[in-house]
Amino acid sequence: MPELVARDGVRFHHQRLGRSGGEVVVMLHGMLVDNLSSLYLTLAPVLVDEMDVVLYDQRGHGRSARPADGYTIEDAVADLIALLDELGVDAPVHLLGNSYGALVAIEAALAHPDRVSSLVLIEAHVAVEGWGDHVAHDLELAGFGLGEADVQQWLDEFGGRKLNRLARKVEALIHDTTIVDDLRAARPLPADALRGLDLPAMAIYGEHSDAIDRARDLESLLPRLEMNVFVDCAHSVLFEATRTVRAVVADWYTRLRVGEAVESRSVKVAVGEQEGEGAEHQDHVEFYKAELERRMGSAVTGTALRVAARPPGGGR
Amino acid sequence: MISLSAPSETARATTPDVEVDGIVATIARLVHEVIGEDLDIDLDVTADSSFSEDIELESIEFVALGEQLQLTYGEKIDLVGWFGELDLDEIIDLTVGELAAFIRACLVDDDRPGVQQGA
Repeated sequence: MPELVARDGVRFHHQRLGRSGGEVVVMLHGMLVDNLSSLYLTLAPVLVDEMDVVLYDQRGHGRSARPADGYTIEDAVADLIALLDELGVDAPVHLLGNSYGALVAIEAALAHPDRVSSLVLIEAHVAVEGWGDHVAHDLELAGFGLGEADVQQWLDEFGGRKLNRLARKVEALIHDTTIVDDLRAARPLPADALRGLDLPAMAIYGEHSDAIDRARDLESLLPRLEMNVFVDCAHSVLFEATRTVRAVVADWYTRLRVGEAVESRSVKVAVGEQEGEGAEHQDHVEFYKAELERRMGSAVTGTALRVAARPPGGGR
Repeated sequence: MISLSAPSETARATTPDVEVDGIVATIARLVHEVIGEDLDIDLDVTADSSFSEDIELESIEFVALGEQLQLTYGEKIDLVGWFGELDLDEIIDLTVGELAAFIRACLVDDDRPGVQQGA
């Protein structure tokens, strides 16, 4: 397993694929149940012919180490830069992030403009006022009740190996690390700094996503943004419409390479056959979330439903 | 099913187990290695086992398995390129036998097979 040791001796699992000598694109996965596999299986394959693709499991995720602390967004950016240093990549890189990974990409571009040449933001979280509280609450919901005896019994009987491992990992990340407090403390992204982000960017959102308001924020702030809103998809657009996302992302990098990236435009993207169903999925997520909130509020023991309701790799 | 041609002499010379059965056995061994901490579970890996449903391999473990297969069989096994031709559902639904057939075809022929729809 390729590992890198960076910052305070933390061990990171990474994969490097594709064209040696090509422009480097670093892929940043989402939070909690996500890891590099979601991008490895979806977008890396369509970029490896032209680009040097770097993926890594973020701290506490996948096969990387899970230290007790260091989970602020600033830490995630510092991890990224330290890993690039370890890899000997000092030229500016393309960053591609999904969900929370997209927020890390934006923050990295703001903090290290000399290290980042473009942004692809899929279902980007944008830290607006109150984002830290919101995401901390979601994390607490996800971890709620996982350690309870009757939940353990349910997992033992019905959960299977995969769900059990997932539940153990989620529980450990939420209860044994500072991730909830670290993210609760997140400061809002400074609007002026975003307006000054002078690099080509492309965003993808599902039209039914709970983060769709962030699409409007990004459109109004990033000066060189191409926005793609996917019809009939929600927050898990990468998994709901993998083929179409692949095509849109590969096309954007091709246009960028030949200097034809279209900036400051907004497009509605129709998805392919058997893609989409985001609205229905979003309903399920909302249902389970409301159910957990009700149980948590009334101090009734929760269940692992929230975890079970997530699509593979569909982390925040 | 995927049509397979006879293994070339080169493939025979460099890789001892280019027959599908041998590759299935290798995949089974590597699955156990990758799963690691849960080795005590009762897991019977056969050609018909699906990685997701039967083996319950997590996707990050599937990536690790691919890496081990690459180390075992060499650069000719372009798993990432193959994944790019498949939908996520198709990757998730892959069986050990389908992966073994892909590896064998890579070893004996440069033409990459795909997973046949509805097979």
